[in-house]
Amino acid sequence: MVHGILLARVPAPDAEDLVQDVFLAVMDRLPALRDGGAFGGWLASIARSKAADHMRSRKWMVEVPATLAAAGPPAESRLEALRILACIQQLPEAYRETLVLRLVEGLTGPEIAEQTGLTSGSVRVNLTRGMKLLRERINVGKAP
Amino acid sequence: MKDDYLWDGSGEADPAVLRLESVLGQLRLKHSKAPVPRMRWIPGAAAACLLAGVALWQATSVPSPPDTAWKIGDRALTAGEVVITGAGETRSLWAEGFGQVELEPSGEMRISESRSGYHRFDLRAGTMHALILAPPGAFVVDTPSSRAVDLGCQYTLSVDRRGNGTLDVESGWVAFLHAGMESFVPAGARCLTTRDAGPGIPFFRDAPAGLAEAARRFAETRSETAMREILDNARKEDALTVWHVMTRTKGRQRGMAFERLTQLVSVPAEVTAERIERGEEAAIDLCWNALGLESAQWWRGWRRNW
Repeated sequence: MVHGILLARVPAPDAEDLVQDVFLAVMDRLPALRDGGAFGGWLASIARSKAADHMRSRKWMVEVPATLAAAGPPAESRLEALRILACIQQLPEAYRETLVLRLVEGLTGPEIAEQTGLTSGSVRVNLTRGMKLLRERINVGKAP
Repeated sequence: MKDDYLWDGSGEADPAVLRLESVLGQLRLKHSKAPVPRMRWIPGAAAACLLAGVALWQATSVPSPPDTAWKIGDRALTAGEVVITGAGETRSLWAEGFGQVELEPSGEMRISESRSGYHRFDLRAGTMHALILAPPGAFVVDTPSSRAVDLGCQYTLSVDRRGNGTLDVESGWVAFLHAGMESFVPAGARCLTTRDAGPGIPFFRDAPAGLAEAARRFAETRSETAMREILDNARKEDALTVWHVMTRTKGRQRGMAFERLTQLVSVPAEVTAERIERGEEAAIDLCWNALGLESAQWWRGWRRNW
């Protein structure tokens, strides 16, 4: 979930590095968490905050960690994935996170609600509206 | 229900969602660096969740890959090399995970700078197509009259032998810069650049012909006649063009552009003509926000010259 929340807001290579920062922050702040049942929402809020800090501190000309070249699927396929991710990152904020958690991280809507602390209704609306916008932007409904 | 598959994976699978899951699933976190452990007593179930997550994350750790380099085929290119295409010949350059560039026939392009996270090309002549996946600002193309800064997108840039050029953006954004002037060009828009005047006024490619022609003349001459033609021909979606006119003018002309902008989009009441004519950055910024180009918000903050 943490990676998905970050990936909705920052470039893909940065998201992997930021996961570490989020867990370090969690370890630092965990004693302050009073309600263990709120852990998911609390963790999500730290991830969102880290992503916002990262984007604020980022200058317009930044080093790109070259992690995209990692071994894995063929470059062509990965290029397509990154292109679609870029489209998602341009959607309104409310839709980005739920779409990334659903389509990248493979969580279901109920799981997203449970883990992020959002209501099921909000997640469902965000998924439906976000998917509609995404279809319009990338013509995903058409044959590949 | 129609979106049941999107919601919880039940019901009839939506082919579009299936395809997105398949393509995007490869971006799922597979490798990362191990966190620096810190000894601390962590109570309760929260600790169990956290430690389980960290353990899973450490178990999939792999080393970082090498730096990005541009290549033609398997041959790596270095800074200073010039790529030239003959008549009927095209060249494709690519950098793993960073992007692809194709140079059309009769083109000339120099790799001016190439280092991790920052690549600068010099397009001297011809047409290039770029698909860039890197973060904004990481890929720059100089032309004789403007610098194109990629803001995460796909675009085509052409330069003629006189050094004039045309930029067509297909997706994302490109910033066109020269001598303190900036043009922000979104998907579907075009921006001309000339040796004499630098980056022009962007307009959408489906804009009325009168507006496109007036934008060209206004960029070169700053004539009030051309400006009035832009304002008169502007549709709601041409507010982007009107905003750029507003930032390239001063005093009364800026006030005229602002007035037209308020007819096209909903500008907050706190933004007054006086503030705009005084050139208050915050007010001009609010006008930009009124364009509804929200996708630009996260990068727009890095620099403002208006």
